[in-house]
Amino acid sequence: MNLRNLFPLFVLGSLIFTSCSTDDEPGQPQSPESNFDNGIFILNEGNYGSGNSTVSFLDLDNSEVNHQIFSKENEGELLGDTGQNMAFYKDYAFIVMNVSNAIKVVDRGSFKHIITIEENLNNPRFITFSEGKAFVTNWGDGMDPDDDFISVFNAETFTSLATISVSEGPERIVAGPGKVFAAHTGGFNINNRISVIDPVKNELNTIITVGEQPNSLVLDGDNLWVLSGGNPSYLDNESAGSLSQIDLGTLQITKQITFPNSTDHPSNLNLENEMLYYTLGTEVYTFVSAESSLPESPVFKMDKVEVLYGFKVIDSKFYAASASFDFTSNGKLYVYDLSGNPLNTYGVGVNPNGVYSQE
Amino acid sequence: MMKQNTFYILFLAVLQTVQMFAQEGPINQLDEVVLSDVRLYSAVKANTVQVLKDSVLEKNPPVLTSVLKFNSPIYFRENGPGMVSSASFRGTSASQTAVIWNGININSSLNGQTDFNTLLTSGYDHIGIRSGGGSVLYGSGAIGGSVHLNNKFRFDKGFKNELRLQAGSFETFYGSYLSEYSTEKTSFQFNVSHISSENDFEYLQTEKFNENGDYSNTGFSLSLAQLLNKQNSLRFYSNFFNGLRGFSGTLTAPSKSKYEDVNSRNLLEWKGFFGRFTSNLKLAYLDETYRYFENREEAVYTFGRAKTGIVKYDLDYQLTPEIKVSGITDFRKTSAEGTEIGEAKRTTGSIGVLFAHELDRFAYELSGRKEFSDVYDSPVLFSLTSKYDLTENYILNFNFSRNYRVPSFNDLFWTTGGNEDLIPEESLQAEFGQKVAIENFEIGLTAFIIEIDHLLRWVPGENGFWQPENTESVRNYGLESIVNWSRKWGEHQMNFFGTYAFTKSKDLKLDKDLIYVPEHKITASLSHNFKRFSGYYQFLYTGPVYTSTDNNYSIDGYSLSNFGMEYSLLKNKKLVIGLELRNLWNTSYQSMPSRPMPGRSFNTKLNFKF
Repeated sequence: MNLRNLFPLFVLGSLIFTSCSTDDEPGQPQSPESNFDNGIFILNEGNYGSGNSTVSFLDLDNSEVNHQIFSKENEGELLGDTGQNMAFYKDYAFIVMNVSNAIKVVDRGSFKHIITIEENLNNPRFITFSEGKAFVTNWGDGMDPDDDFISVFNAETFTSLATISVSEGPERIVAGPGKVFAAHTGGFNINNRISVIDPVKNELNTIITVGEQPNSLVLDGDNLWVLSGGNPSYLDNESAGSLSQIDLGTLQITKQITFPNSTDHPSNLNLENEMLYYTLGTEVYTFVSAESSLPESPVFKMDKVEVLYGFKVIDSKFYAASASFDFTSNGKLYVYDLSGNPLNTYGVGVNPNGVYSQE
Repeated sequence: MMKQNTFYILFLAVLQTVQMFAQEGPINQLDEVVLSDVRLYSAVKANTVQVLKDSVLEKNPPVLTSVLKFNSPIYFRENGPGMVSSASFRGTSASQTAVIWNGININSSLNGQTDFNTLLTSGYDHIGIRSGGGSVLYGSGAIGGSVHLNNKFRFDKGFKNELRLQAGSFETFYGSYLSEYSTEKTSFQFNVSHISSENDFEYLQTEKFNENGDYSNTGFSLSLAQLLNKQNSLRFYSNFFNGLRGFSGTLTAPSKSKYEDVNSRNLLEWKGFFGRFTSNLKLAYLDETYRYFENREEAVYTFGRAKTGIVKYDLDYQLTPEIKVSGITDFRKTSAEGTEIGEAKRTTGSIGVLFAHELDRFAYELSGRKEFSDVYDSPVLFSLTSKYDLTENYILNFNFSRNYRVPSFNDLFWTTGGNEDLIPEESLQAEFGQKVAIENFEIGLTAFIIEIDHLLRWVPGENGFWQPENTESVRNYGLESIVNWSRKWGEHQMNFFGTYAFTKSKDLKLDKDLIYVPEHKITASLSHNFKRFSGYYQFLYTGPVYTSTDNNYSIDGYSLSNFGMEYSLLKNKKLVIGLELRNLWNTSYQSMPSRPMPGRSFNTKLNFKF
């Protein structure tokens, strides 16, 4: 057979065409002296199944964004699939990778990879710390309403300590004095509960019922504030969101305000300087905790935000993370002052869903 | 030879009315192949139709994705071998590619697409690839092109059997049994095939391997033809597919899910020739079901099922020896149910006319079609195809058409975003082709431009849920080329077949390239037969593709080669053994992000005819 003569043709063809491919592989090694001491981390979840989740760092010293810092600081290693949440404990940053079923632990100053936790995680969502332990909400199988749990780890040795069975769809989780609160949006269904966990005994203590889909919660002195989104529009019984104030001592709801319209689905509850902030669509509202009625008009509307995907108040600034219109492209981070004046816009990674201060 | 002995009903029937099949087309020896899907070649043969014959199908893996990837300009996105695979022609999407089974459009009613890894080639005798719009004839989705799966009939051939067995890397096993029986008036074919694989290949340059990517697919097909008398014949086709697949993990994510497909298709066809009239009635029933298990160990799943009944009637009238007019009508009723779509129904009907005129060197066909639906309004479709023989060896053609793609049931009725206000996508396209055929060498070159409006796209809505919308417009343009060469001397025979596609696809609003459209795709295959030996080399180049609409992210292009050898132990290829090396150079490549494809692998085979 006379194939040999044709090999150069094939080989040449492959060289010509591969050489014009663009190279966007992450993980070009970076200068060794990069540090992440003063700034804001942006967690970009990327696309489900594509393994393109990254962390961007907005350096507040020079107002520059450093992209894909995990890969850069760790010889091109990929962060994983669908970064969901990030939180700090002592020198560590814990990054919860939802689809990878893993938690990447890094040094928060250098972002060097320390360990990957994979044990007792199934569809992990959010993380908080109490009593030297990490508490991680897990949906389990999305289709199974009865296998949801909170996984407990030693926050310094990263060993698994316990799993606590809870009701469906535990999402955001915060630690108060002697108690850990997990809000159940319901996962692929609808839920309306707050699980109260005893962080010493690793036990479910009690359950508080709030409005449907509690999507964010903040601690405010003796109170826990819970913002519920209400039943979403695709359900026949679409309902308005609500804001609940819970006494941390009695665990009783002391105030509950329901939004006026069934199409009001608020989210992103934040607290700063005794002011509560939340968003409705891309409008930002503020609420003084002592009041008993909700504001009628927003502070401002974030006009440029295409898809509001993460929102955080840090040092009297609003940080709004916006995904691209179709979720495939790089997102943006918009910064506003508390009156809604735009301060800055930064390019970040694909589908930024969370903004975290190094402080 | 088979050619002389074989008698095809359609062939004769067609000859009675019009000399429709001449030997022509880039690689197709049409005299060997006669179709039930008679309209695959328009009356004036102005479309590029590439035919994959038995010999090609035998050399390639028994799954349609693998065959077309290496032998056509169609580009595939694959989640891995055996996993979900979608086809795209000329820069269009998977749902803008119609799959036609014996003349019936079988794209899923649920998602509007066909997963090419659920089509086993052993159930079909003949696979046609028709580039360019064909919605007047084939309905929704024939925007970029269409893939035609056909069964043909032979008569008076007695009893024939064929067994194919293959075994290869990653515990891949394939078996197919084909039985055929024909008398003067009856022809019967039956095939059962099964392919399974652990599919646990290593991810090259990593310590990981492909987890949970196993599959086990089974297909049955049956076709039956009965000549009732000189004028009338009845045909029945049945096809059943059951696929069980783990959906594999990725570089960065584990997986434990499982996906099950159950598709059945039945078609009864009555064909009659009455003087100048040709009448063709088709009754079809399609049933598709999927079940998705997030955790394969659990019995919990989501599902979707769609049942479609189709009545299709075509009537051709030979007005003069040069002019033929046809009326085409069809009526389609689909009812679907599913975890995510509830219960939904859709009824559509359509009327179309064709006018074909053959002059001395020039031939043209004009056609139009209007569809009526209870859910949305469809545009009036039309097409003009024309051909001009500049010389005997040099043929020009020009085609212009409007085509469409209807919203799928998922687009319309998905619980958390379905949008019943959608309208069909519509496209206008023009192509100009030229073909030169000199002795053993043929080359075809076609330039095309397609403009698609009301493109359907799922985008996040105000309320935070994804929903489909009719969005912007895209413009695709490019070139397609097909080269075919063969030479025979002594007991040697060599064949070369190559395709090249250059495609540009622009989102007109963003002014960016569309994602997952390679600018260049090349396929080449060279085979050499000598006595009982045959060897072949296949080459594929797929250019880099963007994976984000801002064109910031992309997947590298890759070149792949396969090499195979066969030897006939018995005369007339009655018993053939073969060995194939796939991905000969152990190239590390990905078709989708985070999903490495296999490195070098081997496959052995045995074909036995008795």
